[in-house]
Amino acid sequence: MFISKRMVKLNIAGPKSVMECVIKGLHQRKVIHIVDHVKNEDIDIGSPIKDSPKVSEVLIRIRSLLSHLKVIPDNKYKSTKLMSFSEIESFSRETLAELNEILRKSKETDEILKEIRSKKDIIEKLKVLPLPIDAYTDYNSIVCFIGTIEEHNDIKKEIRGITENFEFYSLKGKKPMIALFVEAEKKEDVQAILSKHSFSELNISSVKGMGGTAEENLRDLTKKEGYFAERKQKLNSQIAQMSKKHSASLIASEDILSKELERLQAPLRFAATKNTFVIRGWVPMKQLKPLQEDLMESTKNKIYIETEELKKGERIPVELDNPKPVKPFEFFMDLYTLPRYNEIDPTFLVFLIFPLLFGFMLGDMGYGVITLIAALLLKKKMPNFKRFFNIFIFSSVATIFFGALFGEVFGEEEIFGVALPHIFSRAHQLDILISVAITVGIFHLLAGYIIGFINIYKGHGLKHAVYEKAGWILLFPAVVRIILMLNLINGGIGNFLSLLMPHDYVIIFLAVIGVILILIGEGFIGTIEIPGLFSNILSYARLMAIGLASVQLALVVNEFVKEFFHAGGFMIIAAIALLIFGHLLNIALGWLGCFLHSLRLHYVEFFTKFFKGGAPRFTAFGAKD
Amino acid sequence: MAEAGLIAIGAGLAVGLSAIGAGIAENAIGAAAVGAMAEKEELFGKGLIMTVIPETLVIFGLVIAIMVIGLAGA
Repeated sequence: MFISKRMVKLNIAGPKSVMECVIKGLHQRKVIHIVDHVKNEDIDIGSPIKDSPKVSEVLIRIRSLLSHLKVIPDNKYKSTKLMSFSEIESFSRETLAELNEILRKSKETDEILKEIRSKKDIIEKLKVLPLPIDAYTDYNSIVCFIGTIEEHNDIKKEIRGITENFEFYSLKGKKPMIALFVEAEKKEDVQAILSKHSFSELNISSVKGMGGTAEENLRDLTKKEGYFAERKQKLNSQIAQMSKKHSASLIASEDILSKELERLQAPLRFAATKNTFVIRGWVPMKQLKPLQEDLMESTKNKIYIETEELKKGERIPVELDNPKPVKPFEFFMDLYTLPRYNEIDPTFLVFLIFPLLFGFMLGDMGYGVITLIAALLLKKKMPNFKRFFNIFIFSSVATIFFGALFGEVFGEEEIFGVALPHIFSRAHQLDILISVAITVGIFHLLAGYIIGFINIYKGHGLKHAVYEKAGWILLFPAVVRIILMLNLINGGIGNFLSLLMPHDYVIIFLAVIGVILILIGEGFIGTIEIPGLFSNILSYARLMAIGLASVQLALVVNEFVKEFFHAGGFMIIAAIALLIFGHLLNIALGWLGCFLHSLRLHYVEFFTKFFKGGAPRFTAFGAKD
Repeated sequence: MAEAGLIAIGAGLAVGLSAIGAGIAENAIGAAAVGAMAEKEELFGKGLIMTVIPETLVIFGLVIAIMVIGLAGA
């Protein structure tokens, strides 16, 4: 529970004739974490089994289909269909051909649409000039300038200075469109004048050869555009249909093939000579014996299996080992980082404490019941997030429990005039709330340091453990004394903690030793962090703050609703809507806040006291998800 | 009780100003952390820790506010 699965390092050696047999055995058992062999001067890596190129080709085809058809990966389809390789092969070839045809047509349509739109664009600009479209092109002795200029007040005069033979059409206004026809001989001179007026030419080559007026052409083109846009839409819907039809088969075959390919390419990860191979890997200790027997039997004792001694500082792959109810909480370790092989696995502690902190913050029977129902429903709906919703369920139960302690239902402390029994009231007894919150912090952190002590003791011996962690633990009485002095913890809890405190001289003595140990263990830098211990503990005050915010918001909603309700009439409907909306919002906010802050207290305050992590994950050969 | 109003304002300032400070600090750290996470997803844990470090400021502000209100009660 507190320790990850014990591992054995294994070497499997044998002749190449039985290699496929060994790979098959390992692939089926899914218990070995293969350590990839790095090619060196002495020993090369193996070469893949002969079918591998064929399989990878089909796999590439399937993956390209998956991406083109935008199939969303969904685990529920994975083992729905068992297809043989030849089935997958022909299925993928046919589907890809069909898809390519559609894609080709779609691309064609896109190009046509693009052309139509650019033509439309040009004609739209030409529309302002009173000329038919074919008036602009196909001249031998005349050139035509079409485009926009800055302003055209005296441009006619300037052109007249060059030639009398020209036609000029334009509109008034800013940056007007112009059409200017002049004899071809004077082209350059006219161009010079135009460029003085910052003329920017409109390229009309694509409308060459079109007749009729601008309006007619526009009408025509719009009709065409509509036709092709519709065609494009049809093609898109064809793709969507294909995606719907084939997604299950595609996901299933991707799964089958990638597993197959992993098996076929496994020799790339082995050390191999011409006739022999060596597989290195990690196997959970419990699985070692059955695996050994299995392999020996299937290869008729042709292979040699040896276990290797663990070396210090080796990166051992880690697989957490927790009882079933605790398993969902491994999610938090995955999110953070896996504990190292010799470190204590804190999952069980997270399992105990996370729901309690969550429940303490949300602490409302009504909210607890609603989140519990939501979690149960969502768990069925989204099996992929099962672990997450299991955490949710534990937390909701804790919420109901604390709700009962605080006597709270939807923020109210009494229902229909009957006061709910409670240990203490969150909304009115703030001092108790903060006392509890900070006391929780003190003990949570103390536990963190004690685990840290054990970790270092196991990893580096007693001396290091005393220097690094004992100093901090010895500081605790002093810290608690100061917090009591500041009156942050008072009432019954304060009195109880005061009783636990030794005499002040003893506290000072312990603190001095603590500081000296920290100085020796972590140097001057370590002592700078001593105030950090206070901020860590005070950080648990958020248990109070977030809980309080949630209660107050609920009360505000209830107050509003009551006002509305008393107004009567139509307002009653508004009151009901507000009641539902307000509380759902508060639940969503509260849930998010409580989850994140409970998690943060673990990650930031608790884990940093003992946890290093960073171990590679144990990934069994053949267990590709 | 004009003092009560002043005490309430003081407590409010303690929380509000410290929250603004934490917000400014977390702005930069959070952006950097998300950037790092986009590159390397395993950095979530470290990113979260770095991002929430300035949050302590608000907690201090909150504690001060509670103490100020406590003083008023005494």
